[in-house]
Amino acid sequence: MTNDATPTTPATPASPAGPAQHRPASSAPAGSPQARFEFLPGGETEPAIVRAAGDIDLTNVGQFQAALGEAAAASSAITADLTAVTYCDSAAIRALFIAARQARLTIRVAAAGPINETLLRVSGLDQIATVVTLD
Amino acid sequence: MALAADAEPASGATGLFAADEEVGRDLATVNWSATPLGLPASWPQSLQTAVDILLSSRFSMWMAWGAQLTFFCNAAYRRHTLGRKYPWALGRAASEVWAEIWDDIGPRIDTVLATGKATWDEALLLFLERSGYPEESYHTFSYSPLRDDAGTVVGMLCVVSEDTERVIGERRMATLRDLGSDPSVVRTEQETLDFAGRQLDRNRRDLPFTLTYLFADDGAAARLAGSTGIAAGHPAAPVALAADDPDPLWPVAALLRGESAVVSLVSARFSVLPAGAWSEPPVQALVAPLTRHGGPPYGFLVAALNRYRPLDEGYRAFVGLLTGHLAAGIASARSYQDQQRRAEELAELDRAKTTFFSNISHEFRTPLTLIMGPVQELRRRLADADPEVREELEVISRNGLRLGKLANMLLDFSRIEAGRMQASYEPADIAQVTAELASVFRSAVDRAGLAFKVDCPPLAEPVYLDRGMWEKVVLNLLSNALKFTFDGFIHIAVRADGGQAVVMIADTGIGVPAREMPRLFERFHRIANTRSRSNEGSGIGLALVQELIQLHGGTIAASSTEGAGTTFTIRLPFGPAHLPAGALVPAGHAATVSASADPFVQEALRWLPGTAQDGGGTGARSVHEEITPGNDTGPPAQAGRALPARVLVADDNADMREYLARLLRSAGYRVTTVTDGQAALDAVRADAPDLVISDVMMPRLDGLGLVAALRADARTAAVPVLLLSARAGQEASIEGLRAGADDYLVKPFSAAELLARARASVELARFRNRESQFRRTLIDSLQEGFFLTDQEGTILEANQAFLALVGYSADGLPFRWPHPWLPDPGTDPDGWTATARAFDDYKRHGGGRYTIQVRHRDGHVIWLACSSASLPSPDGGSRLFVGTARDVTAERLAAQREATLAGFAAALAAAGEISEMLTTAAREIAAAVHASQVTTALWSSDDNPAVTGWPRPPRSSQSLRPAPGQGASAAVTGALDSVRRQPAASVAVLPGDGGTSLLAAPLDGTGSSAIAAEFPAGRPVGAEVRELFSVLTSHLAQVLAKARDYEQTRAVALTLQHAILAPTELPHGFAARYTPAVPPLEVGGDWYDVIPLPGQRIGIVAGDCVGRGLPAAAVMGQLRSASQAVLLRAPGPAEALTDLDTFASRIPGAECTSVFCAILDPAAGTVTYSSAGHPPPILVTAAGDYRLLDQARSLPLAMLPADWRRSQATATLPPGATLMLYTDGLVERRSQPLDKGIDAAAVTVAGHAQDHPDDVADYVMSAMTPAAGYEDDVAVLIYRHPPAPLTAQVPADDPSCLALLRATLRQWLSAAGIGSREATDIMIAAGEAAANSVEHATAGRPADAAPVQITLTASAAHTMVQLTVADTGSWRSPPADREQPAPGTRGHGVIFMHALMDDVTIDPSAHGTTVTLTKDLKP
Repeated sequence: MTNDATPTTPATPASPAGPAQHRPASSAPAGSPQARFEFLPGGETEPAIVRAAGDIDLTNVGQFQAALGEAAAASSAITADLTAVTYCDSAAIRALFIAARQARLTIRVAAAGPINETLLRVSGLDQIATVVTLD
Repeated sequence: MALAADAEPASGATGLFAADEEVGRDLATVNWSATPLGLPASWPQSLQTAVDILLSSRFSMWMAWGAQLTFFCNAAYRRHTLGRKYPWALGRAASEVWAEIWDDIGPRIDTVLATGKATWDEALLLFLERSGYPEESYHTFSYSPLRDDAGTVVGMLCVVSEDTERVIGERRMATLRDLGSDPSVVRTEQETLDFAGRQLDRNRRDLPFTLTYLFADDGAAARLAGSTGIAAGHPAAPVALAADDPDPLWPVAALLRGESAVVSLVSARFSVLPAGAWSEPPVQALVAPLTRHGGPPYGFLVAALNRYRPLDEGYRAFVGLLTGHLAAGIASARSYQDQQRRAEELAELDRAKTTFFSNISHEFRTPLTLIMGPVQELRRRLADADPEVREELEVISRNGLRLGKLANMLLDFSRIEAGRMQASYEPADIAQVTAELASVFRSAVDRAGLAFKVDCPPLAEPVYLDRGMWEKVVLNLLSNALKFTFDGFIHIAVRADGGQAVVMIADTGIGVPAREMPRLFERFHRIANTRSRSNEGSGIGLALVQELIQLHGGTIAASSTEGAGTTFTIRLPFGPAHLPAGALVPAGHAATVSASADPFVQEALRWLPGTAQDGGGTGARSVHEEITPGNDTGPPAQAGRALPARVLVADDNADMREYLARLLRSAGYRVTTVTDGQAALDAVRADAPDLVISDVMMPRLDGLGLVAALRADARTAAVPVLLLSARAGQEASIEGLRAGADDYLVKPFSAAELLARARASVELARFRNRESQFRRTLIDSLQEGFFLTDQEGTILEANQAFLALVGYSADGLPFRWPHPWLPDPGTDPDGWTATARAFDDYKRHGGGRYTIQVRHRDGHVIWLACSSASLPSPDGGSRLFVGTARDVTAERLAAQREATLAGFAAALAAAGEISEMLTTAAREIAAAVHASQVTTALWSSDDNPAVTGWPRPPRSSQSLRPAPGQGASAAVTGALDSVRRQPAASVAVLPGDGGTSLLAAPLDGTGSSAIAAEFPAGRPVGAEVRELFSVLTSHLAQVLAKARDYEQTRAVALTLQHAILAPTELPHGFAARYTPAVPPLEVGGDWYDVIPLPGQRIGIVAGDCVGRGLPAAAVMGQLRSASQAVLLRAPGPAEALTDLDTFASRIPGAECTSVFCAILDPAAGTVTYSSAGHPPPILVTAAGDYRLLDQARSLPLAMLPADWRRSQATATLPPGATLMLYTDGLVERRSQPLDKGIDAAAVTVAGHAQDHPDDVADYVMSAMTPAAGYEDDVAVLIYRHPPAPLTAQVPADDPSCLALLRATLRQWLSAAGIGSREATDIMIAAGEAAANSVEHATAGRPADAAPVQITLTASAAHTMVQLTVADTGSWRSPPADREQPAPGTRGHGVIFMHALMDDVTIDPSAHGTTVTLTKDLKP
């Protein structure tokens, strides 16, 4: 399953601030890699895998969470492969926490990636999920 | 072809005749010019070729060529056929050479020459005169045409093999077989001789005529008892020879002494003799005695001899066997006659005995009656008399009764024997009659303390009984029961069953031993050593009972369990139909028990306690004497025989078996007995006897089947078999003989007959076996394995050496293809294919050499080098193969090991690092020893070894970063650990997990490395595998030791190189690249340096010493150290270079080094520099404009004239500028000016003016790389001056703007040269701050409020980065306690900021919130 996040369509509810503001031309969406989420169903003995790539932020963390939720519904064990993630913030960490409550969670991260040991330790995520760091 | 041989005949068999030295030499001496062929030099090529082929062949050949059919032959022909005619025959006309047979072969040769078609003759009889006399000989040959160069038939080639021995051998064997195959039971001596004569007469080639004389009992007088090929009465065959003839026709005196003699027949005394099968009469006769054991000969045989054969050993043996057979036949016949006579005498005696008993019994009855009558009278009258008198009378009465009973029984027998038993059968109620008879016994049974059950309900039909006889039956049985029963009961019952009346008399007595059961009803048979109430008994009671019941048309059977009791069951038909009508009488008087019961009861009562005993008791009884022919003692030795012949007796009847065994043993044979044909077959295969005597009817495998099985197997085909059968008649015996039996006897046969037949068969077999035994001994004595196979590959014969090689015994012969020791197609398809190919090859080519792998019965693998050749089968049918086999395992393994080791060494040599080497070694060793897994371990300092192996440990899906050693089982790890400290080159064999086995060895003596190989369960690790493993690991250990030394040295060198090379940790904003020109060195003459100086300044240096490689590196190291020192002290770059000039002048090889030296002041944004003959650095602005730092240039180090001074210049560093120092290796190209290279480098840097310095360095290095790689050392140092601060603003109500902010920041951080790790931290912290703004700054604001903006600023100094994220909304306070939130809850943002940044300040206000983030940059 592949979900393409569309940067122009926020996943979060529309701003209560009213009509969308005119955006300066200089702030046209650019430079942020498009995020992709992929869910591979698992088997009897293999965990379901959710692969994420690109930046995960407020705009698409909902999709990430949805993908994790789907995986957790399908399998008692999930692997979140975040080795191709280029940015993520605390929202993504939160999504992982929720997933870890639903299924046995393994997180694969790249050693040089945005999700580093500091984040995992500070958040406490390393206490409830298995973290595999790939060089 | 060299024709020099003709010029030099003396030089022997060279040139044309070179193919055979000996015959060639003789051919060379032939005066060829006198033949139509002329000198060999002039011979056509076709003739030369034919002669060469002829001489080369090992097969017997001759050829004829040209007008006169000039004769040539080869060595084999000379040896086999030509005899004395060699070398006379060479070069002569063939018709002259073979004049004596030219009538036979001439027409054949003519046919070949005329038609060009080959002839074929098989075993053709030819009378060759090669030995000085015409000789009967047989040849199988083919004449084929020979053509000259023009293709015309000009000669012929004969390929010949001689069959004389075979043909004559078969003929004689046929005669012997015929003699032994008399299917009839021989009756008389004359019949025997007549039969033998008919057989001898059929072979008039070997026996033109024969005479058989028998001596009279009194001595030398002899009469002609048989003759073949000659009429009795012929001058040579007088019907009688007188005892006292002084000059006898035949040497009677010598014959009487048992000697043979050769008598010349060329004498007038013999007149004209018949010629037998030949045209000429015989000239010699062999006269041989018919030997009798332990006496003078029976007679003698005159055998006229074939004049066309020599009287050789084989001929003599043949005649010897003939006489032996005749003698045996005579002995047999005479013995039979004796037996016959004895049997008749015995029968006569038996008749006399019966008459005697009959008479005597009869005669007894009269006096007994006259005794008993008065005694009874006296008892009555003296009833009141004195007790003593009465007692005496009782004694007389009792013994009188007993005597009367005995006499009656004998009389009954006599009558039955004589068929005079007068029976009167009347219809009777058998139940009632039997019950009454029983009742008379009741008192005796009661007194014996036994229960007596009489169960006789009336039956529906009458049984016709002779009352008297029936009484005897019942009384005998009851008396018997009482006699042998001490506890329990006696039971008599009558029933109707299956149309018969059944009377059962059962007891709980001592029973009858099973072995005695068959003889229970035998007359006079008494069971020895049996406990009974009385020792009395004649042993005729049960026999009489049986006779009497049989007279009634009934049967009696006994069943008994020793110690438990005996039951007799009598069955009598109802009605009269089975009885003679004349003996039937109507039902008569009332059924009362006659007086005959009295003696039984009286006698029985006396056995019981409380009655008088008249002797007896339970003492020992006479042991029954078996009536057996022959006896077991004193086996007569067989004359002239080292070992007694061994006879195997197969019969399912134990009595017959024992009888035969006794008989044969008594005749001196060693006897083995078996109970059926299968057992016999097994026994013969295990160890063939001299004779098998077998019954025809047997369980499992009958006699005919046995014979067939023996004949079908080459090893047992020669074992003679004598069949015994109860089936008389010609058909039965023919069936037996057709099955291949050597002889056949019909039961009953006499002992003498059997022995005679046995002896004849053994003699025959021994003759037959002599040759094969000789051959067997010969091949068994061979050291090499020898085997014989048929076309299907079945091994028919093999010698001990061969069987020992494969570990099987001769019992398994024949071994059918595929043999059990060959590789299994399932588990070893390669080995099987190789073997099958070898087999096909040698079948197709009729032999060959091949080496195959076989598995010894105990499991170990050996290699056999086999050589095999084909030969015709003796029976003329399919071909056979003989082969030899030699164990070449050791050679093979050694060669294999050498090859394996060589390959192993080569593979290791190709491996670079130690880990690669170990992996390679593991792979190679696994392949060499067929291990399922090979694991190596290297211990460095701690207890966790680095483990590698082949195949690599499988990665489980759960563990993506397998720990070292993963996949190695506990057993393997344990094995590695246990052997690591063992002495080098020791190999341990250990059990693995799950039945696997392990080989483990240390790789050095110090305990730092080990290797283990794991073998699948069920595969034993052989010695050869262990040895190979040892050899390979030893080699590995050596290579490993060298590699470790090398790596250690290299590590030292690298450490030293790194020490003199540039700093490994560059301060923030710098990137460097270094490529030495001379691998594997990691240093060269170029260098760069970055030296932090006081006042936040940074010294930077790039230099290039003259030369390359290690010498240049040594100079460079010193100059680099010096430059660091001088920069720290000198006020500016010019002074620093001046100091270096001084320094360089003192270091050999340092002069003329080019150096660029500069001092950066990041705060001021300036760079002050001075160049000592170095290429100018490139300065690129953030916008991509570039210039060179080409001021303050001077000469290289230590090159400055004395009055010169070094100068320095200062350049401004605009924000985000890039400065690149380099050495000339980067830009110098042979074919182009330096400027062009510098320009190219500058353009590249300018193209990446805003990229991270590391990326810039990579771009430059890769863009400038020449096609063939850098030829010189290259050093590049890049500095990125901090860029201008960043300011970016986005609306907070659109979360997608966060991506925009991030992209902007990411680009700025890269341009600022911030490391990726730090950049990531900064990105996340800033992202959190901005996300907070988006989420919260807009919350709760009135709809008409001004849009919230997020403003990001970033600025970089040399050692730190500072960012601010400001919004115009309201800040939602973080949790008051500032503690870490519970995992999984919201609120990580601020925590992350604090964790990732060095300083975080959040400044909320009514108009917005500003987050300031500071990150220190690590140098």
